[in-house]
Amino acid sequence: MAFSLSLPSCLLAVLGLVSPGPETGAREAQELLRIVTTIPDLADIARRVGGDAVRVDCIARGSENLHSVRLRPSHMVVTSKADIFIQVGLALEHSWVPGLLESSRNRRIAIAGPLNVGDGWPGRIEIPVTLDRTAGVDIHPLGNPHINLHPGFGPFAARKIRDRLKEERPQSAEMFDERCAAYEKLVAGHAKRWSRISELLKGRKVVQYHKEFSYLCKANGLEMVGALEPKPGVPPTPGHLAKLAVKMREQEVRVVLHGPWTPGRVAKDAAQRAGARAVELQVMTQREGDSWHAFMDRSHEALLEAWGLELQKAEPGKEKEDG
Amino acid sequence: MPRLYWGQTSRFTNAFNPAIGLAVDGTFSHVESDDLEGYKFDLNLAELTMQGPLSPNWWGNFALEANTEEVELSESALYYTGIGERSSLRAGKFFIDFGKQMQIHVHDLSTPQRPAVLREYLGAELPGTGVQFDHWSPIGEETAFRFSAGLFSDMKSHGHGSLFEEGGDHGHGGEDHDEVGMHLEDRRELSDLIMTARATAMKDVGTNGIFQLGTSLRSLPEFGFEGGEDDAGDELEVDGLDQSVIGFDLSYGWDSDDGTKGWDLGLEFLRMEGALAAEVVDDGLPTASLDVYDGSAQGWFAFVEHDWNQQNGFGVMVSAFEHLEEGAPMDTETSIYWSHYPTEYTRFRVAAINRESDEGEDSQALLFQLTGYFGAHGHPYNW
Repeated sequence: MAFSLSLPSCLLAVLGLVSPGPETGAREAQELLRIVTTIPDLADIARRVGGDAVRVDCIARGSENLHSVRLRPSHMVVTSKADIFIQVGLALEHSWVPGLLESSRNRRIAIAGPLNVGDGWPGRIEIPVTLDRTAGVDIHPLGNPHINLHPGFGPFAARKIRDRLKEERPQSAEMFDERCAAYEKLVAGHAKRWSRISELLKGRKVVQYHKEFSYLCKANGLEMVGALEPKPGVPPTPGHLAKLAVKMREQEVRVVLHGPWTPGRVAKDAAQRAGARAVELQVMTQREGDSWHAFMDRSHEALLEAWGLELQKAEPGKEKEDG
Repeated sequence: MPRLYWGQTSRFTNAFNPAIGLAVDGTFSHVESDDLEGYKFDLNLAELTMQGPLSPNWWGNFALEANTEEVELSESALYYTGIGERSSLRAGKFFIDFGKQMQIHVHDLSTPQRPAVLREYLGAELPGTGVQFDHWSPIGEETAFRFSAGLFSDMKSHGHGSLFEEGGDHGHGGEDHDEVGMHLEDRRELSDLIMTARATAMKDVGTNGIFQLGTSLRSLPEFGFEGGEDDAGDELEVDGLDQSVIGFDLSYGWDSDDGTKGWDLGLEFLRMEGALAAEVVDDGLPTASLDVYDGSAQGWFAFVEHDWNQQNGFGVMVSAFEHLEEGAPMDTETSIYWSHYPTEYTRFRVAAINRESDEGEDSQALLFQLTGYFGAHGHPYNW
């Protein structure tokens, strides 16, 4: 019989604090692929594509600023046991994922690297010409990273996740293909309603607090007149808000969009000053009992409601889901 | 675990080249005490940092600090992570793993100064040259346990950020004490090297809270004090001394669902034993001697901080400790501070500090601090 003892294992054994050993971990890995995602959107999509072959844990709650997420012991634990770590990438989770991966010391992830769903995303927007902080604090070298608010994100991410799962579990490739195709079909059903909503929204003008809804606005043909932040990541200044109010009145902007983590009172005051209304939108899927396509349904409905619009008749967007 | 564990390290990360950053920290202060009074501008530091991976199994960092008086290499270390799951080995010069605070540079603290008891017993900042093994292990799904053990040949405190000592800081635990300094032989037996150890566990509390408990040790098995020469030309030194510091810490952090508000509470107790300090006994004769204060001393600090939005935080810190001298007079330092972040890369802080001593030497200070970060600033430290 061969024994494999590492120094850390011996020290922990002495302390009586031995965690499940590598053999146990290997057995579990054959049964269930452990996936950790940064945002609930990716967790939902990974569950739909991976089905019973995966266990998915998520880091972000769904309501916080994704540029700064407070890490917790449980995040380190699940990340240390993960087979696949999935993030949006494009520097969205840049301020906390490197630290999480470093401190969790998962050698499998350290060598393979995280799966960056945003790699190869077509139509990136707001790519800075120069990497200069006079242009703002939240400067993302690869462009605006909030691609999870684009209607095409779900299928795009699903295909990326499917490909990675097939590499990890080639014996289940057919199942992953089938589940991915079913998910794309599900989203396509919802997307019909999103397209109809988009027709109604096209050409309307909007202001954001922080430019995190740019993909949603662009996909719906909304014209982005400006942002309450004078530069990305720089809090609104009185001078900037005064100029923006004049611009909003001139261009008849009726809606100011802001996320749950941005100061709602500032958005409300700025909107009222220009005769507009502030509308809070979620910036990602919520953690419990939510799905990415339901989140996109809510986002589109919220935009309709923001302008007091209604679709003429019911559409199949709320049709049956696969659970 | 700090809100931004890694700060802005990888804001402009590069897969091959180290992330480079620069931090500038300065203060304008008014101090009123028995020895000092008046206003002063201080450039506490301009610090250059670099860090990045060398390969999948190797990682390194470097920090060079400069102010108007000195340039010092405060950190330069390599990390090897290829020895097993959740383990690492670090070698070089780096801040010691003691309590919740000592790995963090003063300018990155949420408090305006290092707590007084830490300054007194360990020094404002305490890098050591040596090696450290570090491992953490999950206990269940919501608790992480970590321990480290380090061996160092050199450990000298250096300091900026203490207002009440002329010319900066002094630390009994690390370096000079008035004209008497701590002395470590250049080469020693393996058993005489400085040892550090820490064990800590951190656990989720509900969905928004984190609780952490830890204990730390620093042991100097062989060192001496030296105090220059007396009037007769004889060197004043005492060798063959030993000293240890043990600490217990606990902390609790909570943040709101949207992550913009939060509370942090912490408490740390320290006890120091052995040869604590020395002073020159000079009775006016040509010959003098060094009197070593052998015994024990203890102290603690506690803080409460509240972030009421992303840009503003308020805190109170109290630290009380027995001085490292005969009679162990008690000092109590209380700080109230407000930190404002105009942007993620700029911090403005106002602090009022009061210090009371059993010996009747009371001091007050008002501090205005400005800190700016260029590029990818960050220091590696374990939780």
